[in-house]
Amino acid sequence: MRTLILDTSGAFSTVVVAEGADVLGSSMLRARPATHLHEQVRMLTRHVDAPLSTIGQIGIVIGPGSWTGLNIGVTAAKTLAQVLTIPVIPIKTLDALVATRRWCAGRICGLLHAGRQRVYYAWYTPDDQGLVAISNAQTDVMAFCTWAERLDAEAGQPLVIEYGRTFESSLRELIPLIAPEHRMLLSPKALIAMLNIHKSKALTDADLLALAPDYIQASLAERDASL
Amino acid sequence: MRILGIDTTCDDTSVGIVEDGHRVLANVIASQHGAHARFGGIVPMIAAREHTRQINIILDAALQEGGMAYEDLDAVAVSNHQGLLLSLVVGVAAAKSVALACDIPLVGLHHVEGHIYSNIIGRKTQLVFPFLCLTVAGGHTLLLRVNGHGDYGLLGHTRDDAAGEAYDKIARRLGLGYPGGPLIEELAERGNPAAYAFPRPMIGKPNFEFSFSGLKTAVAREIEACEVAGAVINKEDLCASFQQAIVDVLVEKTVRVARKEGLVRIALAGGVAMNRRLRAQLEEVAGKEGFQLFAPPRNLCVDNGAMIAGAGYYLLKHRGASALTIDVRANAPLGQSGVRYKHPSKYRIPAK
Repeated sequence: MRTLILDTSGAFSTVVVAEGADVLGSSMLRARPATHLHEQVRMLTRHVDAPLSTIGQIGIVIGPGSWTGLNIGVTAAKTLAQVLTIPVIPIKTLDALVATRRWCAGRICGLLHAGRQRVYYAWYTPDDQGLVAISNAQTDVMAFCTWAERLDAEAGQPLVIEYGRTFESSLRELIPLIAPEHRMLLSPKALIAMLNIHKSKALTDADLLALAPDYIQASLAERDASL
Repeated sequence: MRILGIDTTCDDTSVGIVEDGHRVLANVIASQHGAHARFGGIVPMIAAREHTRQINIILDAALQEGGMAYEDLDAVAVSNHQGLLLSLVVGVAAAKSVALACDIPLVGLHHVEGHIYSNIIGRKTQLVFPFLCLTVAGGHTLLLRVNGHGDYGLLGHTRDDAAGEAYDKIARRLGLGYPGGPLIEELAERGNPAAYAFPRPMIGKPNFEFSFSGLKTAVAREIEACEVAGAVINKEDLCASFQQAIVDVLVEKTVRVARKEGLVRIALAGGVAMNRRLRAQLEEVAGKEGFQLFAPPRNLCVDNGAMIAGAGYYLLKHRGASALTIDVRANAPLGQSGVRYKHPSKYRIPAK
C-alpha cells in the first residue's frame, strides 16, 4: 500500500512517500510548515509520480513537539484523509525517535527538548514485539537528570537516550547519559517502521475527525487556573 | 459555482458553502465560548487546540448541511489575514489540504473582507459600490471606503482597543462572563444610558479614528470607586451608559465620514453589528441624513464561513486564485490610507 507520511513536529518539515516498507521519496525542508508543507507534498508526489489519488493511508507524527507545527500537520493529514477517504495512522514523536534502536537490549529513553529548561521523555523496554513504552511525560531538566541517574543505577544496565533537537551545551552537561548518536530528524525509515508497527491503530470516520495532537502539556493559562 | 469558506481567525471554527456568491447552502459554526469562559477572554493556545480538534468535524457537518461531497466544490476560500496567528494556521492548513486533494483553486483573503461581504451575500437588494463600511468587532474597528471588489480605502481605525474588546473587558471587570457583548447589551436594555457621564473619546476630533481604551478606564474607575465606597453597582445603568458612549462615537464618526466622502450608502459589519442599540441609532441618524443603511442578518455578523465563501467567489473572479504557499498574518492592513499605524513594522504591506 502506498503511504504518505508527514512530520511537522520539529524544525524540519518531513514528507515521505512509501510503498510498503520502501521509501519512494522523501523531502525535508527547514521552512515554516504553515507556508510550505502543502507545496512540499505536491512537489514530492509529482517527483515520485505518486498522485494523491493513489495514496492508501497517511501517517502523521502527532507529537510531542512544536505546538503550531503539530496543529498544522495534524490538520493537514486529517483533511487530506477526509477528502481522499483513507485512514490516518498516528505516530508519536518519541516512538519514532527510538524506532531505529530496537536492537538495543537495555532500557531506552526518548528525549526531546520542550523549551524553557523542560524535556519530553518516554521510557521503553524491549519485548518480543519491539520496544514498549512504559512512560510518557514532561518534566524539567534537573528532575529528569536526577531520576534518570537513579534509574540507571538501579537497573544496572546501559541507558540509551536520543533526542530530536539541538540541546544547548549546558543541557548536555546536565545529561551525561546521552548516547553518542544524536539525531536532528526523524528518519523516513524510522517513520515507516513506526507506521507499520501501528498500522492496526489506523483511524477512520469519527475517530479520524476528532484526532488531536499529543501536546502532553496544557496551556499556561490552564496550568495557572489549576493551581 | 460552489465555494467552501473556512474561518478560524479567533475562537469560532466555522465552515460555510455559498453558491454563486450569494446563496448560502451551509453555514456551520462551532463556538469555543465554553472553553474560554473561565478565563474571561480568549486564550490563543486553547483556541488553536480547539480549532484543530473541531475543524474536520465542522467540515463534515457543513458538507452534510449543504447535501454535497468534496467533489461538488469548485473552490475553497480561507481567511489567512488578521486574527490570532495560532488559530489562522489551522484554517489555512485545512483549506490548503482541500484545495490540494480536490485540485481546486484556493482563495486567501482578509478576515475583514469577509465581514464586508456579509452585506452582499444572501441579499435581494444589491449593495452598489462605492459604499462606506463600518466594521466593528472584538478584534477591529475600521471605517473603510469600499470602491469595488477587493478595492478598499482605510479612512479610520481604532488607535487602541477595538469596540468589542472594550465590551469584553468591562464584562470581565463586572464579573459577567464571556463573551461580553451580548451580556452587556442585555443589562443595558434595562438601564438608564444617561446615568453615568462617561467620555465620548475623540468624538470632537476632526479625524476618523477611534479610541476606546480611555472609556474602558473611566468605567473601570467608576466600578472601583463604588467598590471602595462599599456602594452597590447598578450594573444595568453602568452598562447602558457605557454602551451609549460607544454607540455615540461610532455613529457620529460614521455619519461624518460618509458626509465628507460623499457616500450615500453605509454598511455595518462585524460582531458588534449585532448590537440592537447601534443598529437602531445608526438607522435613525442615517434616515434623517438621507443615507441608505445596510446591515447583515444577525447570523452573518459573527465570524462565519459563509461570509468567507461569499467573499471568495467575488475575489476569485477579480484577483484570481492564491498560491498554495500563502502565508498567515496576524496584523494585516486592509486598504491604502494615510492612517499611520502605531507599530508600522507590524503592519508592513507584503510585496506584490
